[in-house]
Amino acid sequence: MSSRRNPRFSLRRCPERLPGLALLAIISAGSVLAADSPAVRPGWDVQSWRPARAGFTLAVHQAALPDGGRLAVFVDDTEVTSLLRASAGELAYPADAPPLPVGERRVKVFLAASDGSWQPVAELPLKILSRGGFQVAEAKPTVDLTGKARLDSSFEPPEQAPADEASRTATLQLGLATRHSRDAFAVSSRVSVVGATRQEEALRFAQRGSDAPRLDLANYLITVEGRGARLAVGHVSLDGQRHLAAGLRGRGIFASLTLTSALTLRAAAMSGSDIVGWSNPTGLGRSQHRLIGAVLAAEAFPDHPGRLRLEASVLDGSVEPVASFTQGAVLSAEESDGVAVRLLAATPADRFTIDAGWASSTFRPAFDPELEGGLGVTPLAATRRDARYVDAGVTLLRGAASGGDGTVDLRLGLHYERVEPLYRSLGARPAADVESHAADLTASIGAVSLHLVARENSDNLKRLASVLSTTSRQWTAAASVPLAGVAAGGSPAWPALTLSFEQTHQSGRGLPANGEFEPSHVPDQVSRNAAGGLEWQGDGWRLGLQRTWTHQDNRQPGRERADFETFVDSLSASWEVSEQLDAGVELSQERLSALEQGRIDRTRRAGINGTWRLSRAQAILGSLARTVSTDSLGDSESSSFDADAQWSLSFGLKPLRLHQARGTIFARYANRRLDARDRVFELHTASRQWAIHTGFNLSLL
Amino acid sequence: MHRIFLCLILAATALPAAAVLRHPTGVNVNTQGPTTVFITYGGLRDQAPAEAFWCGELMPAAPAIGFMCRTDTIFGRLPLRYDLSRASGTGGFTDIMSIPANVTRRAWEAAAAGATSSFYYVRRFVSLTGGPDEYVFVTCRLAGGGARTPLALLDVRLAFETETAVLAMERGAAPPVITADLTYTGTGRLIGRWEVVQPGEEPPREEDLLSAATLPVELRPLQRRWTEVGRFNVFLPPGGRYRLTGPDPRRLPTAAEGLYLLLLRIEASNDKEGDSNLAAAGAGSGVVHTGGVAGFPIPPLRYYVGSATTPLPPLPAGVLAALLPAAGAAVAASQPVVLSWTAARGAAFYRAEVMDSGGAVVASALLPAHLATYSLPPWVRERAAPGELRWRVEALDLDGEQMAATEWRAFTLPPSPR
Repeated sequence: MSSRRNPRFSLRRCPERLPGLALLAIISAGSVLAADSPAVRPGWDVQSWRPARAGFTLAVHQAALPDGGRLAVFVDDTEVTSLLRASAGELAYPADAPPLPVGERRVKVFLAASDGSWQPVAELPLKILSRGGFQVAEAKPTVDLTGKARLDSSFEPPEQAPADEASRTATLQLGLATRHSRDAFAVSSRVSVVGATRQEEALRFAQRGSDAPRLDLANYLITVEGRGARLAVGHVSLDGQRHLAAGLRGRGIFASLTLTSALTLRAAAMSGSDIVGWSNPTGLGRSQHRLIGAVLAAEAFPDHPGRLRLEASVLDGSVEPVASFTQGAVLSAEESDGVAVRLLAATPADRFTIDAGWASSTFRPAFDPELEGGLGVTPLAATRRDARYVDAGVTLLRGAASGGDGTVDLRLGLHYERVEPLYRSLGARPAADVESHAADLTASIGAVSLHLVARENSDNLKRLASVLSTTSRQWTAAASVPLAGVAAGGSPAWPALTLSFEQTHQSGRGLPANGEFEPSHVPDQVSRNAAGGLEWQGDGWRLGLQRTWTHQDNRQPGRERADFETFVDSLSASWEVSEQLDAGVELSQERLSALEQGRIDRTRRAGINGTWRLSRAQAILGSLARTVSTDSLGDSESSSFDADAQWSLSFGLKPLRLHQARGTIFARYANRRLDARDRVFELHTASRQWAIHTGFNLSLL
Repeated sequence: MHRIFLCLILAATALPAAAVLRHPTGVNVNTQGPTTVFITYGGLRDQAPAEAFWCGELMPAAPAIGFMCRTDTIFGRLPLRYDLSRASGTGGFTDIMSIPANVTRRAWEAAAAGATSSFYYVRRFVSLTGGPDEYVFVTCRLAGGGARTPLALLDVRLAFETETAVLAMERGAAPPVITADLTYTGTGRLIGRWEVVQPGEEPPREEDLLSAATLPVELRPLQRRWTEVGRFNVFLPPGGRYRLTGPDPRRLPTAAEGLYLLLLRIEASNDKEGDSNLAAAGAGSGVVHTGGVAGFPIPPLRYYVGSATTPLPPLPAGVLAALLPAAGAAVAASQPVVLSWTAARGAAFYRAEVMDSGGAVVASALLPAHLATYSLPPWVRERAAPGELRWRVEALDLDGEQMAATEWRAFTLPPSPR
């Protein structure tokens, strides 16, 4: 709100309330500017903050000004000379003038000489408080109301048609972002609320069905910070040790505190998953679905962060089998508590680096009524398990001569990780019961970069005889070659080349005893995946070609021929034909060979899209796509066709005296066809539908 | 173990013949996390499916048919939230067995204590004609969850590269990068597409949010489709984690305000380990491919296009009009650059602005209402980036609110002759 009253003078609106007559300050004086006797002095204490409506005065030492010319006065980059009032030896931006823009400003004074030249005379700091006494006070509300209607439509088969009552709907989005600060203290907030007239479009319809409120809270965050401390309420996150609390996100409270220059503490309490809605506004309302964690970090050399750093993390929590708002998952009710430490060290210039961690977490089962209710299930014991890792790196070459124009960098990494069976922390998702060893080599030779990785994973670390044990060996190579930078005299039109290859061999370590395994159940598979791509980029255009190849080679008894080979080719291009017109093309072909069945499945897709901006306010978008799938045995085939077109026009709402508001109207046509036949299952599906939608949007603030 | 088998075989001979078949009859499952498997049952005769349990050991179900769970070895029942079973095929029934981690944890602990590592999924079928119940089991073998385990999605997290679950963005802006973090069992091709539900279009039903492989084969083509903005066909190696990059953000529609839903649509891929043979299950003929099965709907990613922070379009002429420099005019170096405009009725102040070709404001001034001209400072010629300049003037009311604005008008400042 205050941004309206205290706008930035340079670019934004400037609310003034001045008499109709403004004053042009023309000063005539003699002599030249004296460096040690400023011609213009501030009439305020430049160190202190002033109210926005206090105006300001400039004391003008006329004798210090050269003959002729006039003074021109700016606030930041906006000239306000015409708004000033002149009196003897003084220029005033009056108190009844519009409020000055909030924050730290500069009053700049120039002498415009009669010969047309401008000389700077003075530049003075001006600190303006907001109405509430803040040095920065900004608020940005938004209101968006959208109405939509289905004008006409056709659906075959008719049962795919939506209900008639759904033909007219509306949605609402309310937003508010604020920022206030004074000295070292700052408060900021943002909140977003969304609404829908149709129940199926309610934010939490998937979770609560008909009970979902139609006006619901999408997210919010309120942050208070100052003097090394920060407190946040709303959608917060916490990052700790990777086996204990890696990338926690949820609704709750977060606090960080800089205890000393070397010691920081971060702590959070939040919901067990990322939630939305009015229910449980703090995120901490359900003790069965709550996580509490903290990370204490100590830097041995505060002036060189990361040189030697020690972190200690703790996490305690309980979760119900409730997924986050944008997550789908098979979940269990669980509890865990644990501790972890992490050590980071690096020599100067990061020649040697090490990142090592250890975590210990105790899992406790929680009651899941849908899974266990009314049953005498076998009890689960609380189990404490450990996980640890070491990542070490050494720079072998840095900036070495390559014999050409570029230099050579070479870095070797060594990695070890072990996560014990049944290890579980609610704040992290490492794969349990796995031990991993890996080495990687990263090289850059001029513009060419290369990455090689070798990794071996083993599972069933307890060597349970009845559980299948497997070992996986993986080799990966990836290269990026910008040909324009490599070839002598290469043209900028030369493409960038990317190549990658990955081979994984996963095999069982023997036939488990007492586990109902047969030899064919024990994996022995080699999979290879290769990809290559070329990409050209020019002024306003881009062309990309990509090919991937995959081969799955099964070798276990009885499945030696159960192999697959896949090719995927794609081409994509985009072209900015003019400022008004963009166009794009996408072509792809997928070929999957099931070698055992002697069957080849092919999918081909072609699509074009374009945008035609008729004006800054009006645009037409369109796209066409056709996908055809067949198989070599003639068992199945399908083809689909999609066409979309949309016209939109935006406009202001000044006639309604809504000066900040604007609106948009749109009309959209969509046509989708599918023809799918499966002769094995004797299925034939033919669906055709088209619809014309129209709607409007009003952005009211 | 052999003793158990012998007992089962002996007991089976004394029981009524089982009529309900299933395929697959046994699968490898992940010891350290959840697993999802597509199962087809066939041969149902006036029978309806009832609950399903996991347990460590079986016992004859007499007087019912088949084998039921030993009550002291029950690991849990199929939670209602993951029960996506439905009738299908010829007297058939499709079941999506989603094993929560707490079930396999119990099985692993039993195996560590010396019991057999395999456990059982037992579905009960109730006779609608008063006959005995029938129990049908599928064997679950504890494995690492890699190759030879069905390719199934167990955790899908969609996100924009922001910290909010619901994104609000301005009209015409490019959305941030989108990712889908996947946790899965098995290995193979993940095939699918990204689609967008635009404002006004029918929102997806729960069946539309399921991966195609989760549905019986006859229902898959009936899933609705929306505007496709990207397609993918990637290989998931045996490792259990993959980050799927979303569609090119430039392909996401943002031209009209309103609510958009971005959908991750997973198609069924040919995964040998997950194949369900209808003939073997007595539910018809053919093999149903189930690569990419998931025991849950994949939620859409929402974004709202709106807000009033985008530039306002120009007002109709007549309220306030720019006079000079004229559109396309060149102002000679010897002349001052003076902007002029017609007075707007009711205006209290004006603000004049000049922008260079790089979009930077190189001059700005606030003026009282009686002035309808503004002479630019001479440094504008030096400050402005090469190319055309544009200028406009806004009329402000007594409250400082914008009443009107002219269109941006271009002019040039030719360099001084040397």
